[in-house]
Amino acid sequence: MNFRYVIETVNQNGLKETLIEEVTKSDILIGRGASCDLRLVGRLVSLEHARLTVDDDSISITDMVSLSGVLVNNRLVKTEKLKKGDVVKIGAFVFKVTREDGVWGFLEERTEGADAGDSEAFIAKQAKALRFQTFLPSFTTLSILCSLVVAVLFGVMPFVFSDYWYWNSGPMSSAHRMIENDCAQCHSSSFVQVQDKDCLSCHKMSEHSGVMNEVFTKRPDLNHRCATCHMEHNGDAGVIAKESKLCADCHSDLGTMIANASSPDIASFEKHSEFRVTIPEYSMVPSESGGMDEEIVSAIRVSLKDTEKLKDSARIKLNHKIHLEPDLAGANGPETLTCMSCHRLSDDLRTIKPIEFERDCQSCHSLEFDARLPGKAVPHDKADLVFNYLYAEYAKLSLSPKQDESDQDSAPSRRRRRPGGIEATRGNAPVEFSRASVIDQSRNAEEELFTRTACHLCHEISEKPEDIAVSEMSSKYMVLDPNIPDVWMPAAIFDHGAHQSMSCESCHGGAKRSELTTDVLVPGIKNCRQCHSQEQKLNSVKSECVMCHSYHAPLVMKEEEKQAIEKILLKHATY
Amino acid sequence: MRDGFLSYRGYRWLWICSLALLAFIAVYLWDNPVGGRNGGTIVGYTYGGIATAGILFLMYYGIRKRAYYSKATTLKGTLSAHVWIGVLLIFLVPLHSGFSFGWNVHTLAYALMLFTIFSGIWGVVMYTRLPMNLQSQRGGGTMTQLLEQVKAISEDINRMAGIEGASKDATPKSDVFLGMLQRLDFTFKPSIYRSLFKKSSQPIDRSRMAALLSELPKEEQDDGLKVIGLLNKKRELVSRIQDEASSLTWIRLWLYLHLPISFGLLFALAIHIFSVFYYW
Repeated sequence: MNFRYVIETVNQNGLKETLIEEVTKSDILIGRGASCDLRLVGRLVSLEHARLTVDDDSISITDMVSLSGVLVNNRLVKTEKLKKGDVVKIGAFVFKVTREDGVWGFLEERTEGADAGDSEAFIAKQAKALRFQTFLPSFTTLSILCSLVVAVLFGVMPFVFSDYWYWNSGPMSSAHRMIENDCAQCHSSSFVQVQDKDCLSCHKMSEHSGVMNEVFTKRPDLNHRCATCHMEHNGDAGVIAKESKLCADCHSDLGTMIANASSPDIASFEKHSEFRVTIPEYSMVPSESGGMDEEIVSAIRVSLKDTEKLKDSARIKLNHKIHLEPDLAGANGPETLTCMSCHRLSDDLRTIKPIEFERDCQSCHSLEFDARLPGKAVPHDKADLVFNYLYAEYAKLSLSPKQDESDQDSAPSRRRRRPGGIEATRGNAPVEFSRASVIDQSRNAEEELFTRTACHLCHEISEKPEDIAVSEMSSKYMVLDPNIPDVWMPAAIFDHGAHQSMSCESCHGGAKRSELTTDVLVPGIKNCRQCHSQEQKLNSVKSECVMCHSYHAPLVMKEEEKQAIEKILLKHATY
Repeated sequence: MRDGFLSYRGYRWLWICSLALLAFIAVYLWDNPVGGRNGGTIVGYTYGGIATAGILFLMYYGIRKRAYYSKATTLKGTLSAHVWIGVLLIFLVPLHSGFSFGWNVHTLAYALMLFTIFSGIWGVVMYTRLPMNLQSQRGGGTMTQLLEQVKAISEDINRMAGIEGASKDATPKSDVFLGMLQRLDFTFKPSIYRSLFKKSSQPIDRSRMAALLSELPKEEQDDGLKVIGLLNKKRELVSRIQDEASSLTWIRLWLYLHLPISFGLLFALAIHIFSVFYYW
C-alpha cells in the first residue's frame, strides 16, 4: 500500500462519517477522467489534473497543465515535494497531507450544509436575503422608537431639567431676554394667558397715564390685558405695538369714555383733525405784595384752522418776507438769505436750533452805538448790562486823547447804514471827563438804542414803571422776554432731518409772504397727507399713530421699580 | 387604473384641497392682527386646529386601511383624500404660524410633518410608476418560483457538465467544456445590496456564443449549445429577480420613513399644543 485517501464528512447532526480509499500505486493520477486513480468530480478539475509520485520516504505532486492548477499551501506549483501537514488545493477540493504508519495520504474534510437536501429552506433563505425588511426593525419597533425619542427629548426632558428653551415659540424682546429661559416669570399659571399681575410685578404702569387705567376700568368690554398690546416672543418687533387700531380703540370714541377729554375723537390718520399748536399766553395779575403786576405765562393749544386765535405770541418783531428778498445788505456786500441761513438743524438732525443773535443775526444787525467807537458793539444782553457797557465805553472815550475833528465828521458818511445800525451820535463835541457827562452820553446812547435803533428794531421794549427805582447805573428800559417757541407741537415727534430731501418752502411756503410775527408758519395735516397715509398705498409712506405720537406720559421709573428689576437681574446673573 | 387614487372621481380631492388652500390664503392676507400674523391670533388658532384635524385624519388612514368591512367610504376615496390633504398641510401650517420658524419643538413638528408628507409623495411616485413594471417582469411567477427556477437550472448545468447526477459510465466532459462553463457560469448568491446597486451581467451575445462553441470538440458541441442556452436563461432569471427585489424595495422602503416618523410627528404635535397652552 502506497497511498491512502480519507474523506471525513461531518453531517448536520455533528456526526463524523469516514470514507477511506486505498491506492497501491506509486504513480497516482488525479483528475475528473474515468481512468484516473483519484477521481475528483468538480467544475475546476481537469480530466487529468495532477500526478502524485509516492515512495516510502517522499511524496511529490506535479501539475499536468490543468484547468485551475495545483496550490500547495496557497502557492501555485509546477512540481512540489510534499511533507506532512501541507495543504493541497485542486479546484474546490482541499486536502491535508498525512503520514500514518509510514503510509502517505490525503485527508479531505467536508461539512454538510444546513440546507443540504432541504430545497425549500434553501429557497426561503435566498428569498429572505432579497428582502430589505430582513435588515430593518419592524414598523412597530421603529414607530415606538421614533415616538419615544420625540416624547422623551421634547416632552419629558424640559420638566426633568427645568429647561424649556425649545418650547420657546420665538425670541424675546431685548428688554426681556435676561428672563427668556425662566418662563414662569411671566407665565405664572399654567394654561392661563399671561395676566396683568405678571407684568405689574415688575412694571408699575408708570409708562401709562392715569387716563389709561380709567379707560380700562370703564370699558371692560374691550378686554384689554397688557399683553393685548405688548406681545412677546416676537423679538423687538412685538413688544411695543405699532398698530394704529390699538390707539383708535379708545381715541375714536374718547368722548364717551372720559368726561372731559382734552383730545378730539380720532379714528385714523385720514380722519385726524387739524394740528393744534401750543401758544404761550400772557396775562397780567396784581402781585401779592401789592406792587406791580406780575406776568403769568400759560400755554393754550390752538388749531391751525382757528385763524382768529392762531397768532404767534412771540414778543419779537420779525418780517420773514423782507429777510427772504434778494441782495440784502450783508456784512460783506449784497447777500441773499435762505431759510437755512438762520434756521439750522440741531446736532441730532431732528429739530431746528433756536435762533441765536450772535450766530444768526449779528453779522447783519450790528449793535454798534457810536461812530467815534467803530467796532464797539453793546452786548446782546440784559438792559442793565448794556447800560453798564455804554458807561464804561464813554468813560474810556473821555479819558483818551482827542481825535482829529475831520476824521470824526467823515466817518459816518463813509459807512453805509445797516439795519439797526447807528449814525454818528449827535453832539460830537469833545468831552471833558466828568461823571455827569459820561452818564449823560450813556443815557443818550441808551435812548437811541432802545427806542429808535438796534434793540428797538426787533424787541418789544418798555420803560421801567415808575415804582421801580432806576439807579444811576441801571437802565431805564426793560426788554420783554421774546418767548420764541422752539417747537410748536412739543408732544409730537417730527424729524426735520428725515425730510431733508425736500425744500423748506415745500412745507413752510408761507414764510416768503409772511410780514408779521404773528403768522404761524406750521404746515397743516393736509400737507403731510401728500406723502403719508395710514393705509398701505402706492407712493405713500405707511404711517401709524406712533410715527408722530409717543405713547401717553413719558417713562418715569420709580425707585422701587428699579429695585425690583435689579432683583431679577441678580437672580439671572448667570444667564 | 393604476393611479386611480390620485384622480379619484375627477380629481375631487385635488379640487377640494386647492379651493380650501385658496380660501386659507385669502383669509390669511385679509387678516391683519395686532402684533403681526402668528399662531396665537384667531386665524392662527383656527388654522392650527384645522391642521391638527387634518393630521389626525391622515393618521386615521392607517386604521381605515385595515378596516376591510367598512362600507361608509371607499378605501380608494379615503386614500385620495389622504394624499391631497397631506399636500395641503404643507402650505397650511406656515399660514398657521405666520411663517415664523425656529429651533424649537414647534418647528420640529412641522419638520417631521414635512418628512412624513414628502416620504408619502415619494411613495405615491413609486406606486404610480412601478406596479406596471413589476407585473411585466414577473411573468406570472412569484419570487420563490423564480428562485426555484434558478436552482433547477443551476442543477441542470451541473448535470450537463457531469459534475452531479451524471451516471458513472457517462464520458466526462472535456477540459475545454468546463473551461467555458468556468468563464460563463456563476454561483447566484441573492443579496438585496447587489440587487439595488450592482446588477448582474447581460445575456451572452451570439457572436461570443459561436466563438465559444467552435472551440469545443465536435462531440460536445450539441451539449455546449444546450448549456449556453441554460446559462442565458439563468442570467435572465437572476436579473429579473434582482430587478424585482429592487422594485419591491423602492415600493416599500418609503413606508419605513412614512409610518415611524408620522408617529414621531404625532408626539411632537401633542407636545407643541401642550407647551403652547401650558405657557399660554
